[in-house]
Amino acid sequence: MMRQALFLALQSVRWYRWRTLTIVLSLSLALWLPITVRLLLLQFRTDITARANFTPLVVGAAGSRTDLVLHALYLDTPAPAATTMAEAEYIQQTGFATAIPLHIRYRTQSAGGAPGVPIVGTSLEYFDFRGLRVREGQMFSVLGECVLGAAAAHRLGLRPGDTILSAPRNVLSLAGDYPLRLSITGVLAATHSADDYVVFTDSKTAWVIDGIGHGHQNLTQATEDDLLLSRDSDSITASAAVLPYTEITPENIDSFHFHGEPGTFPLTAVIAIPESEKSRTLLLGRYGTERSLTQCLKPPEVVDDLLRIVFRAEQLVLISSLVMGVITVMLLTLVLSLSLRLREAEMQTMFRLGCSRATIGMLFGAEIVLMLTAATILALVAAWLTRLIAAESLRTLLF
Amino acid sequence: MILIHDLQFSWPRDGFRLSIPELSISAGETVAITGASGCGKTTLLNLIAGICLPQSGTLRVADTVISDLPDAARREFRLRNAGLVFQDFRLIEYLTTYDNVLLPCRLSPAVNPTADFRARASALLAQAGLSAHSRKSVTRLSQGERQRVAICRAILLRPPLLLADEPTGNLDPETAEQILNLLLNQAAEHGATLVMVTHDRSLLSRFRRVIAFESFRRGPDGAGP
Repeated sequence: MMRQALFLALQSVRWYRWRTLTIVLSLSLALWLPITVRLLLLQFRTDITARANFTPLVVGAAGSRTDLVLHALYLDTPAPAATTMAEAEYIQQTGFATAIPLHIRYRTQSAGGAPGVPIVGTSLEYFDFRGLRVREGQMFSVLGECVLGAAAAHRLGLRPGDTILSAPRNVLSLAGDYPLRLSITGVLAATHSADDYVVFTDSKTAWVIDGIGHGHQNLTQATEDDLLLSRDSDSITASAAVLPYTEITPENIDSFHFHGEPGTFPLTAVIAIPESEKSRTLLLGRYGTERSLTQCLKPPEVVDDLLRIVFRAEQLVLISSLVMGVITVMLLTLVLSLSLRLREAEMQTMFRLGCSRATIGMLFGAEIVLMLTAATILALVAAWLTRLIAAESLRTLLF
Repeated sequence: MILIHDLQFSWPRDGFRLSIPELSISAGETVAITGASGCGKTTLLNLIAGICLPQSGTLRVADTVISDLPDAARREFRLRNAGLVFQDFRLIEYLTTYDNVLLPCRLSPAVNPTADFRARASALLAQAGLSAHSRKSVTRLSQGERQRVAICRAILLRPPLLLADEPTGNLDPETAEQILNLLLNQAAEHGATLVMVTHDRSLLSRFRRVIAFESFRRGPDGAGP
């Protein structure tokens, strides 16, 4: 009997196709929204916690915990208050952990119609730590070289052998952060993480962009007068016409030097990789007692705090979806009851021919089940497609 | 085929009351029932089909006392023993012509649309001159064609009783004649009893017996035929 009921129900939903389509689409939309929100948030949670769980400790200047951790994890959030290279040296000296410096204050200039991407100054340990390998070309080896994340290379349309300019943080800055032309030596293999969307260079190159290190023409008695403010037998005073180099080449690399103590050079964060659980605890203890101007954070804890807020927002979205769903179901109930009233004659005919009221109920029930099934399948497929399409956008939001 | 004795039926809401002291219709007989609108002709068909139940009296159809049957058995009895034809055809618009004819097979777990019934549906449509329309929606058929589909549906399960409620009421005289021919032929072919309500006096001569229904209405003393 069920087969016959399904046959009649199928014929009916085909015949009343516009009514069926309206009901199925309405139900699908009502189901799609909460399912999609749930899937995307699960994806968000998976992405964000996976990277946090893989990053043991983050050290940086005292301030917002969330800003510091997100900055160290996703490499593109606003730079928190600067710490210094001394912090990385301190961590190394404790012997508890390997310190990986991060300097993320600059972006590249736009290229290939795409906006600039962050420039991450770090050490080679970062690449081992994140499991990054060069897909094309080779790793940077001297000052002024860089490698691109896979997505960054794609967006900017650049490959090894090309160059890219850094963008000054402030166009009105007269103090030194001139654009530096970086030579691209390699492109990293894609990891579908924040590392794909940035340019990596050595910390020292980042400090050159910062204006802390620079190279310039040596001033000699032979230097042309228009480059000098004054010249006497003992000294030569250069004018502003003597510019720092904006590109580090084999010819000028030897002239590059840094002013100041290396320990004072700025970093925006340090990733600490403890040797063991005990080392981790001891390092955290040190930061709890000895380093009041800095903080040592466990990224999973900070991310959990963040997710609690996000998932509170999710509850609101789900409640709104539920209310919308109830309204939709009420409206559909009204539509269906009006539709049944219009089909009263059909029901009467079936009854007169010898059909039981229970069977008639089964026929109409089968129609509702068919529409519900179609709506559920449609909603699930749409949610799955949305997740596929939105996953990349979600990563872009994160990274 | 049909035996009625001292049957009383009423609709309490509008005061309608039907009383039939005696009525007997033999198997294979063709009977036309006439009478003014509202006199109870359709009610009698509903009583014979077991759609309504009398308040008192005996109604025996094919040796079965309909009023003694429980609901489910009465429906089953109706499905198998009474082919119903309505004035307004009562076809299911979302089914094809062919599927409308097969409908009785789809309405009860006791009857399935087996290959036999499928072949029979096709044959009936061929007899009714509707083969070319079998895959069409019934909404694309003319009034006469629709009524022929309804007749095919009524006789699909070879019921011993055909109950037709003004089947020619919405049709032009020529089509009405064709429909009556089809009904009478099918009844004769299957040896079925045909009870047809009609207002069309021109058709009465085609029936073996005509019952003027006024005699039953509110007539505890009215004489039966």
